Amino acid sequence: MCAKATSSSALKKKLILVSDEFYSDMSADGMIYAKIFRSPFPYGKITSMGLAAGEKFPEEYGFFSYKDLPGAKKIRTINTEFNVFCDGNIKYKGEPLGIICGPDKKIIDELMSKIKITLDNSIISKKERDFSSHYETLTSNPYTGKPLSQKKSSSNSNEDVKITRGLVGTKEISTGNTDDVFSDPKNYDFIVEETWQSKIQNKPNKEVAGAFCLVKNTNLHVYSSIQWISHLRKALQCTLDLADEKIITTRTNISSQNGNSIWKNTLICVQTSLAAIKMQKPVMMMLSRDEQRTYIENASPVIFYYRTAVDLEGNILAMEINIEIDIGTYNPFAKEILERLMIASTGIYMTKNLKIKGKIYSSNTPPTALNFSTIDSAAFFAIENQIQKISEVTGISPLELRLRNQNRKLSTQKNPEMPFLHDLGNTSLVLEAVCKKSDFNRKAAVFRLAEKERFENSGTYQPPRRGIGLACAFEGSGYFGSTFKGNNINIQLELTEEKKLIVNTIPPSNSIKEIWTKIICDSLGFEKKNITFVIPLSDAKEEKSPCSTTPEALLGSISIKTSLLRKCVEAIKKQKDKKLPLTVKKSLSPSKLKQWDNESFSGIPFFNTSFAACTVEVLFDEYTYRERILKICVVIDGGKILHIKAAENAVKTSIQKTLALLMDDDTLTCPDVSVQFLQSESEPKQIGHIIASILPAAFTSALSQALTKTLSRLPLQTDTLFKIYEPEA
Amino acid sequence: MKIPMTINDEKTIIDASPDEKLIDVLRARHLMSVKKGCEKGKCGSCTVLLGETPVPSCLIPVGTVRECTITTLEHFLKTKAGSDIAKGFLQAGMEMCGFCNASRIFMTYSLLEKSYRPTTEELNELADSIKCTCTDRKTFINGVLYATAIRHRREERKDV
Repeated sequence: MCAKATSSSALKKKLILVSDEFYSDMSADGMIYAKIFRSPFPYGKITSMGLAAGEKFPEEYGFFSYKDLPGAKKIRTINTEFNVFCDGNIKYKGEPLGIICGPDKKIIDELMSKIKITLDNSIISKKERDFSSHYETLTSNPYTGKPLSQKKSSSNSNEDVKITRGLVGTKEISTGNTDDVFSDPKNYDFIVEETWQSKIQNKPNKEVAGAFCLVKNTNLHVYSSIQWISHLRKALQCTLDLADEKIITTRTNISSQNGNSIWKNTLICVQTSLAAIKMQKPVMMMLSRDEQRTYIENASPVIFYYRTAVDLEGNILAMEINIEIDIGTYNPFAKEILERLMIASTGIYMTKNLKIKGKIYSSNTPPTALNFSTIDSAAFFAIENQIQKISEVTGISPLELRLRNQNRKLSTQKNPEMPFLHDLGNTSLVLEAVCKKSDFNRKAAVFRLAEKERFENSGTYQPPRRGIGLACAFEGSGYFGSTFKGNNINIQLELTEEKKLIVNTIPPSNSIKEIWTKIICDSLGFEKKNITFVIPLSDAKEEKSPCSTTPEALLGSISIKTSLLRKCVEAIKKQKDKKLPLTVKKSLSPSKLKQWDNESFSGIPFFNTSFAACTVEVLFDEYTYRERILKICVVIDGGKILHIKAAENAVKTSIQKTLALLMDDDTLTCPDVSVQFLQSESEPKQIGHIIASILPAAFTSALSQALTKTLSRLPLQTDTLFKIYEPEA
Repeated sequence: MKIPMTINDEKTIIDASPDEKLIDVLRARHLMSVKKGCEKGKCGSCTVLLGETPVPSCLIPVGTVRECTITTLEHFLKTKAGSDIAKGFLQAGMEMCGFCNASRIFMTYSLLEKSYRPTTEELNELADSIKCTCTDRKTFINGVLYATAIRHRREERKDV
């Protein structure tokens, strides 16, 4: 047990602060810089590491590695432990071996190039022999499908070898009997099989991950864009052997709101803090843009294989889904990622015979990133494109196919046929509304006929290739999975004697802050300046469980917190005449948590779910071999929309952001974007990231129709369409 | 090497290697509005005014701006032109992430200097040139229009 007991005086002292500044803009007198020294090899056992004999680090420079950590050498995150620095056994190329710090960045770079690493030869030889034996069966790259070059494998250099993946986890759920259905062709009219792959990666050019640390009056000050405060504080206590009250963490401005750096940021802060303590100087560490891309923003490649049996009327009789995900060397949230993907892999559809198999692989590549906000988007990309493909094979309209197969059972009814239940509201209304708005039915039919005409009549004039795609998805908030700690989701409001309102939670973004402020102002008649949001003191307390406030609680619980905030506000309204100060606290109801059974992996997995549908119309320009998006229509059922303009702006911004991710080397735009919300009085639901689940699938469906070729991977490259279309031309 | 230049209306002599990037020189002088983004001249986070022209400071060796005038965002916002644009963005309800501020404001300034009344095409071109997706396009264009109106009011220019 490495955390020390916290005295009440420490709680009163401000240990957790918030700043509007970016950490990368901070400085202090005597500040030095730090860089991570990374392994150039993907595997090996280090026997020695340092400068050549006779050389030593200049006086103002330092190099620290795992043996310099005064406390634990590992950081515990949920059920995974990972090294702060490599312990000698290299696990992946780029693994941090140490940290170099000093006043001049150029000299740091020179020193890094001079450090020599010696590896144990016996380990290398064994690994290479293992690889050679695997090579016999491994003739193509498992990720790109391209054949492995003979030259590359025969050289077998340490830098280039990639060990085959290892299976680290599996999960399977099934209902009905899919084997029976698939075994006899008389049971179905169509079989539709396809493999879908999504590896959409964030391409931000915002502040890179890093930290600014200094020791002042025996206290360690850490400044960084921290999103998981309890995890960071615990890690600092354990690895640096510091008492809780000696650590002051300041959350600086977060320029890019995503979950990728949630736990990786802790590692960087610990490394930088070690340097600050050893050097007794302020230390600034910023990753380079390449490091940010390779070690922080690297997405987990996810592969979905679907096999669906369909009858003449378009009913899905059986569905088999295989999911494979490569987490790199490790990912503490691998289990949750797989669970969420499995839940989303069936979309809104129902079938009596269902089998979902999920597999988690590890490989000696950097630990992958996890974006909690868009965790389901890869699954929706797959299922929605699968539905589109079924539509093409069967000839049934995409809208009709969706309406026919949607899971109409309400969450309150028992439904043994499907393991997952979602309260999606009126999905038919949303689908029909978006199709009406975009004239989907007519256009889909016309474009389909145009293709048929093109095929039958190869005259000199051909109409432009156009396509229109439809996709729908839900966004679940507050996932009751294995890492969810519902007892930590609560909101406390304090009305002080000076008639100021203190809210004990920090809104994750400015738009959420605007919405919460509006709720308070509208109900209680407060002015904005009298409302303050603070980080709850509970984050500074000793916690028995590894991390009781998980990232899911932080990011996925916005709608839960909004609901609790409204309840708090109502409670204060009723008690306003009572003596001040007045404190009201609301927590998540235990009955909600019981709706999901982790053991059987069934029930209602989310606190609430919003639903949206989208159509995308594209034109394929046969002169430039490039796509042009003509129109995007979105209809969302997000419950009661508290601030329509803000919601519309947020959705349009989300559309812009998602369009920027669909192409690897270019940014797509659309001149005509329409966003509508269904009017509703039900509880407000989270809709901030639903676009990432519907837009990619609608886009590829539209392009697939335009090109009459299935596009099964994202992101695309600018020459992808050229490569597909050019042989035909 | 001693390199004389004017930074934010202040004549100064920079002591730096001529191949050092302008962005590093400016940030070393605590001019933190110049942000490190892509470092390839594409994202615009490091935009400064070189004379009256917005340029990406991450691609400029400091030796090439000898005797030139550099203006960074923190100084520009104190000017009337900068203030017009800031007010216009505020009126449009724009929320910027902090990294694209220099790019948006300086590119808007450049447009307003060239065009008394920006056309739809010019506005679309301006919106396309901003790679950051923190603000939706329509809100940004509205911000530019508000900034234009505020500038005209300040200059007491009537419709022509």
